[in-house]
Amino acid sequence: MKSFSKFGFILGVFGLALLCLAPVFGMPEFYVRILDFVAINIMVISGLVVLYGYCDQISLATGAFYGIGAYTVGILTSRFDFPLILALVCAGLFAGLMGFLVGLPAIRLKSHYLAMATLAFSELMIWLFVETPKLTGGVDGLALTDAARRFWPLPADISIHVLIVVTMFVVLFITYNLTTFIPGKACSAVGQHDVGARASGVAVEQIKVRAYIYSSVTAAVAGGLYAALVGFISPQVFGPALSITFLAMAIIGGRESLLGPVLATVAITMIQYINVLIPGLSPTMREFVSTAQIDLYALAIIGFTLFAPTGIKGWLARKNRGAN
Amino acid sequence: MVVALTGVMAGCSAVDQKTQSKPIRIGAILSMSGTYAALGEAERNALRLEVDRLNAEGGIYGRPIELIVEDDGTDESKAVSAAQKLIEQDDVVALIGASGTGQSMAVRSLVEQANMAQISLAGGSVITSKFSSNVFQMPWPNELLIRELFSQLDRSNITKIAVLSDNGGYGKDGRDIILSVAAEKGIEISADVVFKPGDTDLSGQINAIQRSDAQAVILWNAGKEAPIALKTARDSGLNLPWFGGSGQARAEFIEGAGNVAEGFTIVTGKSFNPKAWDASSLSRKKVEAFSAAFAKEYNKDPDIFAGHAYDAITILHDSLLRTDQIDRQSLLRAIEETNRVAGYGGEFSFSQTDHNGLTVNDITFLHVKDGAWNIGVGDSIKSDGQKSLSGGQLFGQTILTGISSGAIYALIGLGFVAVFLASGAINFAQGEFVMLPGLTAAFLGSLIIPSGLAWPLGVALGPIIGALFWFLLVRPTGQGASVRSILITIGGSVALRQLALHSFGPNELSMANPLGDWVLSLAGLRITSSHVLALSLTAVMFGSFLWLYRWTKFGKAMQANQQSEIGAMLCGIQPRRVALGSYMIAGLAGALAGMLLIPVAQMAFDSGVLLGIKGFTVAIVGGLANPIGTLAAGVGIGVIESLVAGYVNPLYKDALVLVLLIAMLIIKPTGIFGKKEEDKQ
Repeated sequence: MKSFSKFGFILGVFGLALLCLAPVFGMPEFYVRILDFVAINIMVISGLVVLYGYCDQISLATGAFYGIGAYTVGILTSRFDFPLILALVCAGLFAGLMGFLVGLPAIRLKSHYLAMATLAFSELMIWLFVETPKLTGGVDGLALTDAARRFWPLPADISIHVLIVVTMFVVLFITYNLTTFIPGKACSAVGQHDVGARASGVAVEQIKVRAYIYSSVTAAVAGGLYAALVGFISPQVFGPALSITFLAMAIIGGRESLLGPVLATVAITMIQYINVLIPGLSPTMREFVSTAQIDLYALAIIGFTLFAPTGIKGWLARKNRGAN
Repeated sequence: MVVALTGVMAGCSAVDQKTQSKPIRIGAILSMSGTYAALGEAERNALRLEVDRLNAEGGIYGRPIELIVEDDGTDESKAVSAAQKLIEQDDVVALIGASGTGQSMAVRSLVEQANMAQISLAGGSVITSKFSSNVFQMPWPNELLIRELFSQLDRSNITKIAVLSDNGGYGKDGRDIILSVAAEKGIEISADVVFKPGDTDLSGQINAIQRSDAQAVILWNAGKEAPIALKTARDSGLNLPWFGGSGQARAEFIEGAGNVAEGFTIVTGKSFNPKAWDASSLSRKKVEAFSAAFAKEYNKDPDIFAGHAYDAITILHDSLLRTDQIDRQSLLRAIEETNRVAGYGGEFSFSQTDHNGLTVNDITFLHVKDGAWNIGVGDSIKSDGQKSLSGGQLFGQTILTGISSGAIYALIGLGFVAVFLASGAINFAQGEFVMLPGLTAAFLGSLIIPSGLAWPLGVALGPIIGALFWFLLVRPTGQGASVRSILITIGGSVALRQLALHSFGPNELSMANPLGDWVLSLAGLRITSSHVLALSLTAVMFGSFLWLYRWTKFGKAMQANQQSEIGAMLCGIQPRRVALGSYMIAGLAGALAGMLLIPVAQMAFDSGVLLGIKGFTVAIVGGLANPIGTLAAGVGIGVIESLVAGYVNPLYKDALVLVLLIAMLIIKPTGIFGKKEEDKQ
């Protein structure tokens, strides 16, 4: 186990360096962009791994928290001249507070009600993004100033890329530790059996609320980086479809695993940009992939819940067992 | 793996350069999925048709035009990655798009970096008011249309107007311009009311206009809610001339509004009715030729979006013929020098400061007469001869509307209650149980089936959907309220939404009231056939449910099951039968709500989300296990909503319910009418 984590650490550092340097090695910019979108989605999914994967809580507000992060960064950098890093920290803190509020009913409610509360919260946030045009630009959206991306002595495109990759590794590192050590055990106890966990001395409510906070913060930081990367945000992006996409990634990945959901995220994000990744793809195929995406997520949620509740993680575990 | 991936990507980038005869590549970013899917499809069809025609005619001095279309899914991040791909990988000389204002703005910085031309098909003023030397815009700018509208108001001696607009991009843009032009021309704004795209009830807004002393109404809306506004105005006796813009320049407007649209005037491009052009003008010839070719290829007339795409390719073709060297910068310069090129929008002449290039000569007034667009200005919209309502009557009317829509919320809430009573679970697809029968009936009604027949079919569909949903999805996940059972209804709700999207398309549908459109006057209140239908059916449904629950064996089984599933099974009750029954009831309640909504409002595939949340709020406030509480909560919330919409701000209506739900869940999840016990797990 110990040698594995050392190996994992070296692999992580090596991967980090390689991904950061990808543009230097002459990777075309549109591939670097997709790499960035993959990294951003991995941050979001890390939060869901803790919330859904370990604590067994369902959130339909992931997209809204992502939007809160994007708007916080967008507003602070373009209207108040905050530097990007500071704006990202603010986004994380603000979303953490909102996550606390949304997670609060967890103290006395079943996850059913909570899922509906997150759905209502998500709709409310979109309403706010639209109805406060002085701050958010309303339906027209908000264009970020170039200054938002210039915070490094490097050119803007490369520095934002490095920031995204480094943040992703930090989030993955924290999530790995959270899920592997005592908090993770407590979380999975909560996820498996509430009463049992309580009997074993786990502060069930606290764990649930903390999981909500953690997943809100990761989603918001990812959203903030998305805003800085794309340079333009508008409300409809952060609607229920986005939350469903993230939920599908988490479910396909499987519970009680970090690797499974990360693999699912990489695969699904690459499918979203398949038109760029596979240039020769026929137009009908491309059209099919883009129009049928939400259908596929819905079918994935249903299919995996009914027939393969353990997701990719289950498949990986079975494979390991087979090898041993 | 990462190493391998990088290697593959680097290999792909080595784009092979071919020689002179290679095609001229033009990129297009269109929204072929997502919110603007209908626009993107029309635009792509028009572009393909024109590119094929131009290539058949010899292309650009023998070089064919190659059109590369990318879908942005109405999503800025996809638009950016598509633009990057088109610019770097496909090496296009110019970019057409995007369909939406947000996506058009999102790709702007990339276009500027590449120093190439972008021809946007979106209508937002921001595209040209935030000027970029690289970006051109096809649609008629709102400012042009609105200034023409005001000169008409001047001719009709109208000095006080009401502005009714949606707060979506198009409506908001128009409203800002209307307010500033009115201030400049000294015209008084007597009422300025806003609604949300997708709103199904505009009585609050019409109420506010009725209380003002406006002499005319200007409606600025991308079109979908306009028929509701007109029907509501007719039903409440508002008798004023109505003006609109390009947002109503679509076939669906007259279809949706029916005879209430008679007299409605819009200001829009002449091409919407090509007869507005001089018979000899080049624009008319081109529009008619394009329309004929489009209709032949796709079996329908082109809409204005197809027209804008046609203009984009026409201007590009003209500029490509004029430029001596085909590269991005020369083409950009050539486009800017476009002079008197006739297209669908009119005659385009660009300059260094004008990147839209249309003038007042390209637009006209059209009005609805006998169900078709005629040239010129129309009269007042005729209400049915009733006098305007007094303040007290308006208040009563607001309450009545609230009770009627509250009754519909209560029906949706009853669906949640039924499922909760039987299995303790919450059905996230309840909103879709409302949307799907409503849309199906409206779709059937739009075919050959009369609405009197489509209506009961829609209701009958409810229990069938409920039963199928239970059989296919809920039953395999087992009894009770597990996380899997939540996930399955969430997945199921998305699947039903997608099913509706693929079957009925992204647009709103509506159908006539099976009782016909009539109004009863009672003590100054105007009770419409929709009110009568809503109140009577809700009473019948709740009455039957209570009877079923209290007096039948099935109801007893439900109660037993709720108290203890194992205990119930020991008494010989089959929990599965109870659950199936409850889903059928939920389906029926949902279908009734849907069939009550579809004549007064329009519905689209995604209408179920908010309806579901409203129904759930009603059920939670009512106590979740309490049908009578749900009915009371539904009516209460409906009335509050209606009062807020009529007297505070219509936009706060939906937010009110959302805040109420979140607050209830945090503070008192057992509801106002619920039992005392905490529902702790």
